[in-house]
Amino acid sequence: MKNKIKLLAFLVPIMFISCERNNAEPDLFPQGEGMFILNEGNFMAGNGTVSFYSLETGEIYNELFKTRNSRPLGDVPTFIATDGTIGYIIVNYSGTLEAVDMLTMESLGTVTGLSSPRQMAISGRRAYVTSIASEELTVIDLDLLEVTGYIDIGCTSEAIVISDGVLFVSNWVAGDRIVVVDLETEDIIGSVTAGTEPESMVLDKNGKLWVLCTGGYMQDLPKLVRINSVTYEKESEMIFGSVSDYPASLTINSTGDTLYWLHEGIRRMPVSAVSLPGEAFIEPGERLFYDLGTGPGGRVFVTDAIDYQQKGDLLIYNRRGELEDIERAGIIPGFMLFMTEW
Amino acid sequence: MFKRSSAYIIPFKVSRNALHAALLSLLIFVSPQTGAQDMFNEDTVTITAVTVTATASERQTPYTVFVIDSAIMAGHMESDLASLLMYATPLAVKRYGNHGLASVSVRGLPGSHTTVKWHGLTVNAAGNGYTDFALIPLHAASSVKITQGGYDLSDISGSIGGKVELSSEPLFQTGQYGSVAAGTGSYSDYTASAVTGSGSESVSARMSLWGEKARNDFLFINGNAPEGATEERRVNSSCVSGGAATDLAYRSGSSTVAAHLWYSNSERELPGPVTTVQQNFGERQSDRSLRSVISYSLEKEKITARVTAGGTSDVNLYYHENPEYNGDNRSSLLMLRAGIAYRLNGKAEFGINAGNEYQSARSLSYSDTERRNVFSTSLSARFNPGTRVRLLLQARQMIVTGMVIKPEFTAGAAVTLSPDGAHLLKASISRTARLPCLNDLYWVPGGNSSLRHENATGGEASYSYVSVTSSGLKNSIDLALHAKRVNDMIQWIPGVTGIWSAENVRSVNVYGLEGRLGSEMPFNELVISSYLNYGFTRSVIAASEIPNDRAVGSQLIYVPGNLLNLNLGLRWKMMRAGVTALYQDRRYTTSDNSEWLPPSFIADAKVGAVLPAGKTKIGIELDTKNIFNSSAESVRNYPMPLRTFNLRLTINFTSKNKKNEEQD
Repeated sequence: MKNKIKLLAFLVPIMFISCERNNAEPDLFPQGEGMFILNEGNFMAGNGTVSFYSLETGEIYNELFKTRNSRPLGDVPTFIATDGTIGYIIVNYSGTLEAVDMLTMESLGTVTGLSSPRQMAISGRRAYVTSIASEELTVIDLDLLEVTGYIDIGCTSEAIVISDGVLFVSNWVAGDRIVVVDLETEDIIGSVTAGTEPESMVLDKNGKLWVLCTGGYMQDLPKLVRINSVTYEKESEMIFGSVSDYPASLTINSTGDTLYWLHEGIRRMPVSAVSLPGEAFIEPGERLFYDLGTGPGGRVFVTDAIDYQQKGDLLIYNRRGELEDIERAGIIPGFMLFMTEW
Repeated sequence: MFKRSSAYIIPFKVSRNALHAALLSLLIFVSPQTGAQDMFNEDTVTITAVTVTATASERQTPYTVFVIDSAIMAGHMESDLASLLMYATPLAVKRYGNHGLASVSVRGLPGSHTTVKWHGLTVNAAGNGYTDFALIPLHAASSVKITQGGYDLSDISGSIGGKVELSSEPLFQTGQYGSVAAGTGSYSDYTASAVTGSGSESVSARMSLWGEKARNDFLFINGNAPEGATEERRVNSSCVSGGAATDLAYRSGSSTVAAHLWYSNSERELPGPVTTVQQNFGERQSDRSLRSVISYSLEKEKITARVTAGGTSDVNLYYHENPEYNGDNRSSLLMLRAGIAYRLNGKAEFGINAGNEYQSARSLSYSDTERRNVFSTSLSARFNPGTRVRLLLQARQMIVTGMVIKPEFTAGAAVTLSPDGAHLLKASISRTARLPCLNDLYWVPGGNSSLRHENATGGEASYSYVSVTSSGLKNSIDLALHAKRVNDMIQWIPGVTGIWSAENVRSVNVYGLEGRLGSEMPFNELVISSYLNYGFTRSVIAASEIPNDRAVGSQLIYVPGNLLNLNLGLRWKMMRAGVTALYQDRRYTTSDNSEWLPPSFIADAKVGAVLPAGKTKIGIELDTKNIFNSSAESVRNYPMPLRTFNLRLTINFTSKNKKNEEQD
């Protein structure tokens, strides 16, 4: 009996300590400036994860969603959009959208049944989700976390950008146009033929829409196209040299004046340029760059998925293109979102 | 709760698996005896006893070859070859859920490295190099022979993993026999089969028909659901399959002509992965195949000769809810081979084989129909320099369209340690090659016509023990140590444009230990049979040309480090009972071994009776699969069912009674 009492006396405090730790939910990562990385995971394996690279500590923090919620995020997370401290993670092959508290990575709700979602844009309390399988944009009420409608755009979609009350939606796979949707009426009000397979697009500081068209696989010459976001007219196009070129992952710095993309390394170009850069800003060396992001001070973040079956690397370069740090992220590290304000 | 990653393995689950395994092991080995793989089961009218006679010579082969016991085959007759191999051999089976695509890994190499032959005809699709073992019913053959490793060079083309051979040897002087069987099981699973045959002095004929229909909407635990672990029902997973096989043989004097035909048709819905939520993309797959083989063999004095010709046509159609993703893959193969062996005297035999295989495949992802010709010739020499020593030398040279192949060889020895032949030591070394499949060469995009063949160098040493006592007690033990190095391994890897391509990028070191134990113990009218297979396999990436590859030093994905299965059978008068169990160690799912499927333990149990009625026997059997209701996956996110039941009725008929069979 004495032994049992001793055992209880030993165990009870431990139980309380455990409870206290769980309730407190200690921080999984520091909440200063840093980059969120979505690791896609192996296709059909459901092992997509979220990482955070802290500029303050210079360290990466992996598997945040799974650690916080005791379940995996899903299969092939491709995009995060934020609304204040709430993040919305699109999980492509699971067909879900996870709402998370960006401070803790705690799941706030899940929207299921989305048709191969890819990216999203937020306007007010509504989100517009693109699809690589469906010819409709899905409209989601962010308060209810429910699908409230669809917008038929007549083609599948990938990148999506909001500018001055309209949505620009790229028709990536086997497509060539940018569809313009009025946000108020949710009607199609225009379409711009950009080039074969418009994969990524960004808005610059002048309100110009830049579209990177990959040209498809050995199909057409890739193009970097600039579109007037008010008149919906193509203003210029810069053509790559060969159909075997495959540029991708167009992104822009926080001041909106410099474009970056992947093409035999990392290319950098001011938005005022009239021709494509002849040389890579950062040579790939033995790296196989997969996705690209930018941070403050001209920093460039790029991922290497290695063989796509193991944990990949996050590489951080400074504004001069010098390698500052390498961190091991998750499997197929892809989309990145830099957080400056929490 | 079923978790997968390293951080979320629940210890309770592992320990419970270990407990189940230990319990069953105790059940099996409560007897001090272990025993023979060679067992004749009187219930297996439709299964020939050929396996028994073949085993003695296979045992003398200096590398590991074994034939699956006919009684074990009989116990799995209504399932597919994948299920049989999973429970009755040390091979690792990877399966995309119940009735889903199944591949088989031999000695730590991927399923594409396992060659499947049916009467000498290659079953692997020329396009992707794989065989879907879920589409091979056991009715298609009466014998299954396994060669561990790629040592056997008598075939036209080689493998470096291993070989599964299916055959139905002619049965002469059996009289007429036949059987019909019908079964029904959980989730609207219905099976039916019929076999009829006849064997006279010079003619053997056999025909099998089979079919299965299953709704297959089984229950499983989704441990990763957003709302927490839930019991869900599988969707889009029904299947219908059917087929027929015929075997004809005519013998006259020392010559035999045989013809075989096998047709199968399968329609399967393809359930999506359960990645937090269950996916359903309306995928389905249709597979049709027609195979035929005709052979002539001669055994006359010192000469053995055989000529075989055959062909196969495979159609694989894939449908997706988005028709842009539909697939249409077709492969065909024509084969002609001849071999002759001459016994010089009682101590030496020389043989030569030559053959040609013409492969053709087309796919929506090919720019055209792609073809390849494989011609090879092989030489073999067997010596018995002493009464207890047997030596084997084999060499093969393949000549392949657009590719230079290094010569292959196998050398081995078998030494009998005891006068009664009970104890045997064997050793062999080999260098063998595996050709890239046509998808590796011609798939658009990413096919690489500059690929080299894979090659493997290695060997094995093994010990074998067999004893049969006058009381009917049979024991067998087979232990093998093996090791090999595989170079120029082909993998699909991403390129700078994001397009994947096939490359010779990695080398793999494989080594391991295999054990097979068996026993049959008669106690008056009670007969207890037990078989255990164990495999320890390390299949480690030794070198890589992929930059920054952290997978070097890691186990290949989906190769279990430890695998154990056991079959326990009881026969008492008319009653039958049996337990089968499978334990698999963790299987890594990422190349750097950072994630894995947890160890799994699945056990099945069956009870039944065989009621004799003259020349007819009526069998009834209740089979319970997954008796511990374990949540398990063979492929990540493709759950297997929880506990299921199956009831089967079998009626066997033979025109000869047991006494006549024994006299024959």
